[in-house]
Amino acid sequence: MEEQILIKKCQADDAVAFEELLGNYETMIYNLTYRFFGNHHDASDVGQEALLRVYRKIKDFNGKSSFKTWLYRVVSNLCLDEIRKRKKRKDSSLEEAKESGYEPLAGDVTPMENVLQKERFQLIQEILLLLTEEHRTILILKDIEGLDYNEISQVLNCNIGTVKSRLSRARESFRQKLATRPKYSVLIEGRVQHGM
Amino acid sequence: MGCDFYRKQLTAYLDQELNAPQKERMAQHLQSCQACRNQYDELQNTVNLLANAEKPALAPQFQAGWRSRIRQENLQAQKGFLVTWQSFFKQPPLFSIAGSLGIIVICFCMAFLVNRKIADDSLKTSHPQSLSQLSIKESPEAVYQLEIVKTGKQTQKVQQLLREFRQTHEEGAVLALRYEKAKLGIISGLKGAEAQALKEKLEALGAQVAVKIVAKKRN
Repeated sequence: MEEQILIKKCQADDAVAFEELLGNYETMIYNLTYRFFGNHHDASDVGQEALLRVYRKIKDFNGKSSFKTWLYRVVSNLCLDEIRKRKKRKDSSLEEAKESGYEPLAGDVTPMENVLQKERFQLIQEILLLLTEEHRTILILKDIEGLDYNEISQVLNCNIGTVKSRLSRARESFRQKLATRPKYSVLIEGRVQHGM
Repeated sequence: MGCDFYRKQLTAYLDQELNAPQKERMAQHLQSCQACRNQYDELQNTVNLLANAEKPALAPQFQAGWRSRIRQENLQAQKGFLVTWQSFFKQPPLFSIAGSLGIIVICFCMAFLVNRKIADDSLKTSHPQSLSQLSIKESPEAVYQLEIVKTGKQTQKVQQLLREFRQTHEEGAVLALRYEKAKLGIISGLKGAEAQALKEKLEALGAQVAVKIVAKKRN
C-alpha cells in the first residue's frame, strides 16, 4: 500500500496499518539506535520505545518533511534524551548490561562472516561511543545513514552552516581517535580513492 | 589564501557541496600542497570506513517486542474509551439518587459485556496471522512467538506457569514479557523446542495458544 495512505490510516488510529508502515522502517530504526548505544540490549529497548513514541506522535506528522526525515528526528531525539538521562544517573548502559550478565545477541544470525569485518564493525562502534553526542549524531546521520545536509538540518533543527561545521569537527575527531588504534591501517587498507 | 582556509573546506569538498569555482581552486591547491592532500586522503578514508560500516543484525526480541507493545497500547486505548464513557454516567445525578444508581449499574453491566467483546475482537482482528496454528516441529530453527488467546478455566495456573517461565527462560523472551499482561500473554523470541514445550504445558492447562514465526534462520 502507498505510504501516504498508510500514514493517513495510522493517523486515524489504525494499529494494523502502523505495523505495516513501520515494518518498512524497523531495520533503519534498529540500526540508528544500535549506533547510538553500541549494544543489542539498549538498541532493542530504546528502539521499542522509539516506535511507541512514533505511534503516539504520528498525528503530529504534517508532511512538511519526508516521513523518513521525521522518523530520524523522533528517534534521534529519543536516543539523545536517553543518553542525557543516563549521564545524569551516572550509569553506563554497557556496564549495566554486563552487570546483569548478558548482552542479548541478534539471534543466531550474523551478517559478518569474516574476522576483518567483525573487527572493523567493533572498531567503528567503539570510536563512535567515544565521541560527544553531538559529533556521534551527525556522523551517524551523514556518513552511516547517508542523509544529505538539508535532511540533517531538518532532523537536528539547525541551519546548513551549522551542519557543515559540526560535521567537519566530528570527522576530524573521529579521524584522530581512529589514528591511535593499532589496527587502523589494516582495516582501511585499499579504501583510498582519489579523483573527486 | 593559506592552507587553513582550504582545510576548513575539505569536508564540503569531499561531500561535493562546493560550487564550481571553489571546487576548482581546491583541486589546484591539493595538487600543489602535499600536507593538505594527506589530510584530504585521511578524511576520505574516515568517511569511506563509516559509509561501508557493516550493519548490526536485527534482534528478534526487538521485532516481536515493538509489535506486541503497539497492540497492547491499542488495546488499552480501546478500554480507556469505555472507561471515559462510563464516567460520563457517573456525573452528579440529574434524577433521584436511586435512579442514577440504577443507570450506573445498567451501564456498568453493559460496559463489562462490551468490554469483553472488544478484548476478544481486538485479538482476532489485530493478530489475524497469529491465529494460524503452525507446526513448530517443521521449523525448529525459527524464532517463535506464542500468544495465549484464551487462558481457559485455569487462569491462575496459566499465570503461575508464565511467572515461572519468566524466571527461568532466556532474556529474549523476558524482554518481550516485560510489557505483557499474563492474561493476554505474548511470549516472543522462543526457539522451536522451547516454544513447543511451553505450548504443550499451556494447552495441558486448557489454554488456547496461537503460534507465529517472528524470525527465520538465514541460509
